[in-house]
Amino acid sequence: MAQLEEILRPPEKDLPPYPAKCIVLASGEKMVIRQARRDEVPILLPDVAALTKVERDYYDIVAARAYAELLGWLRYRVRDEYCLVGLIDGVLCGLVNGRSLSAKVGVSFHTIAMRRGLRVGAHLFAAKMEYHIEHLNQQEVYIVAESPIGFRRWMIEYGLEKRPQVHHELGGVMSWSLTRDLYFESRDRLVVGERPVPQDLVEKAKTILPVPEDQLIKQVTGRIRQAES
Amino acid sequence: MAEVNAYVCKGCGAVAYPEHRCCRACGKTRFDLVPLEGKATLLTFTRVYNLSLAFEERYITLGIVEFESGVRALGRLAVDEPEIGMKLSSHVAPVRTEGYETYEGLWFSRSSG
Amino acid sequence: MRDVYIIGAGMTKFGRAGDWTLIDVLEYAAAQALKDADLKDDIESVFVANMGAGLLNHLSGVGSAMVDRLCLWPATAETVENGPASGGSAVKVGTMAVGSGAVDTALVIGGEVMRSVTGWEATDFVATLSHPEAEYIYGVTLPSLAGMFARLYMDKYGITPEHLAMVAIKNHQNAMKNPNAHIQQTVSMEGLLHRPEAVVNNPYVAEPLRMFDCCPVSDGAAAVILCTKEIAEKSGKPMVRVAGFGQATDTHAVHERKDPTELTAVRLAAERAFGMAGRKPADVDVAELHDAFTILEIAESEEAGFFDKGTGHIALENGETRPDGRLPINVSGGLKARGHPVGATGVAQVVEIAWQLAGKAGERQLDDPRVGFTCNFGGFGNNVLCFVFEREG
Repeated sequence: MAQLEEILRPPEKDLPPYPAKCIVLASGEKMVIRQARRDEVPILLPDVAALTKVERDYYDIVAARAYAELLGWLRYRVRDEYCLVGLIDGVLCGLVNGRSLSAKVGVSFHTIAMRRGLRVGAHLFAAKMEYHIEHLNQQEVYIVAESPIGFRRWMIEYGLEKRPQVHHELGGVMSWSLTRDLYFESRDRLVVGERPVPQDLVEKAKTILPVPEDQLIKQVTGRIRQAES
Repeated sequence: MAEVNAYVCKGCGAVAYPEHRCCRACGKTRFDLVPLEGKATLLTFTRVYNLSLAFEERYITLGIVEFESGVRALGRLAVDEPEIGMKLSSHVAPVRTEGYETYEGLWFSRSSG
Repeated sequence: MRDVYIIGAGMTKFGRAGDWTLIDVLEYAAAQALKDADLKDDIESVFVANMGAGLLNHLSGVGSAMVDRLCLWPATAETVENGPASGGSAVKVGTMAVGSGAVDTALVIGGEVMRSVTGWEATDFVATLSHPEAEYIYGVTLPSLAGMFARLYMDKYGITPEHLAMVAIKNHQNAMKNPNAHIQQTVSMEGLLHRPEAVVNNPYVAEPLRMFDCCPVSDGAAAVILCTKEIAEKSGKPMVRVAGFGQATDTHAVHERKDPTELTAVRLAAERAFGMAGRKPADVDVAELHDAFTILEIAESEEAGFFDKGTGHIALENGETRPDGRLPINVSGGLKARGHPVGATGVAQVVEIAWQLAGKAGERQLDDPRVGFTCNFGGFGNNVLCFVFEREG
């Protein structure tokens, strides 16, 4: 069985760690962005699963695919994957994931924001790009998106380049690329945060606290029906 | 090449832009069309980041100017660092594309003279 | 004109309608107001304020559709469109309908479902308010007009980005007590402006205005029931009278305004409203102003006569416009935090004032306000409505 597992398990590289940072959001709350450990995936999965029920803006497919990627990482069936989480007082407010394709190229998978209205998704996406370019020292990151809205915003915000010959792992569509040059052109206005994270916040961010499902759905959908009494 | 026109009152010579039925100065309703062009002073400006789907740029720069004739207009600025009071000169060029339609309008660049 | 009273008010929460249609959203607000009014008399006229039914929701004749949905046949019905001032216009025509003696009762509903399209499409939809040849084709958006105005206004009177942020901070704080608000999230000066993170937290939308200087795109509806004095007295409810209204227009293209730092239409509309009501700005206990952009709350507070020109930001800084201040402005959270479904806003402002004057504003209730004021700003200030309301008895 050990031999079969060796065949089915991709070879693993030790990726340089993402150094945690702290971001003060518009609300004044402090969000810690840190790397999640493989053994923390079971904490993340229920919230991601809950979002597969939200049809709006492609939340359902993003969550379904991210669920598979995270579970795949947990069960040693995805090569060189990483996950960064955003935590406020330990509570999960967003996550991003991707993987290292080669020494020179990274692949961005997904971005899920659980807290809305505070640019959590923007901060986490930027952290992901920072990880690939500045910490994994890659030359470019392949990017694609399920949501037309999310995608067009990043395409314009970062000035992404087309890579027509590269079929993205997410469904085989044409990839877009954030190159090192493009990244450093935009870095000052897109990548923020302070290091090191103060010790008291490090402590609070040690354990990931998931969001209760009904609160999560309420946060994400902002539906006016909830006012009905 | 398209033109942007101002409306010169046949009665009193007052110049207006955009079109109105009546002259604001004398009330008469007949006008000559005169190209709106030349040197202008920048009155105010903004860089706009949240645009309609017709635009792929990250931002565009818009400004309100006052021509030497006293007529004011809004146009696109081809100026990296605009300053209120700066001297500009106009030209007409595409400002927007929607599907197969291209619309031309006023552009302003730093005036050399 | 006869005296006109508000006898019922209601609204949806503002936010995202989801699978609710425009008609559903309008029905909900109307039903709340009808329940609140508990009228024995029939509703004789219906006015629906809305801007985007045609462009966004593929609907027309919404006034007639609402009579049908609400089973109010054979009441008269119209849809009233005046851009972001549709709500104010609908309240005005409803007031005139009852005040003229043509009808004894009017249901005024304002609503919008604009989150069914992308943010870019919503921006473009609102931009259709601008002058088609002289502004719209250039890529003008409402925020861009506000940005150009803000630059001049801030330079002229020494208003800082911090002053603008104070409006947002105040209104977000106020909305924490408003269960119908679109956004219930406090914000801080640190996160909005002072930290390096502000460049991402609060990016420019149209310089010098940033994301948190602009109201959100919202779905929702609000409704009021207007009636004669006899009907109001019979009901035994608090007597809230539409004491006065005023409206004024200005040039369409913003560059043609006589003075680009003056909101002349606001000043005229307010003067006319106070004139009709026989009241002065100093008499006002609570106001709902049109803070689609934070700069507008400051500018309108001056043009309406509450503060001298160029001092509105000082009053704000001194806390005079907070709920515990001399003149609470936007206790509801304003457009900034309560939200701005375009057609609903003018009516929602009236709903908040009606609730305040009737003692029904829940956690937000101020201490016995008697005179209220609203300002509903259409286009970029080329069509403005102001109202004065009074509590009697």
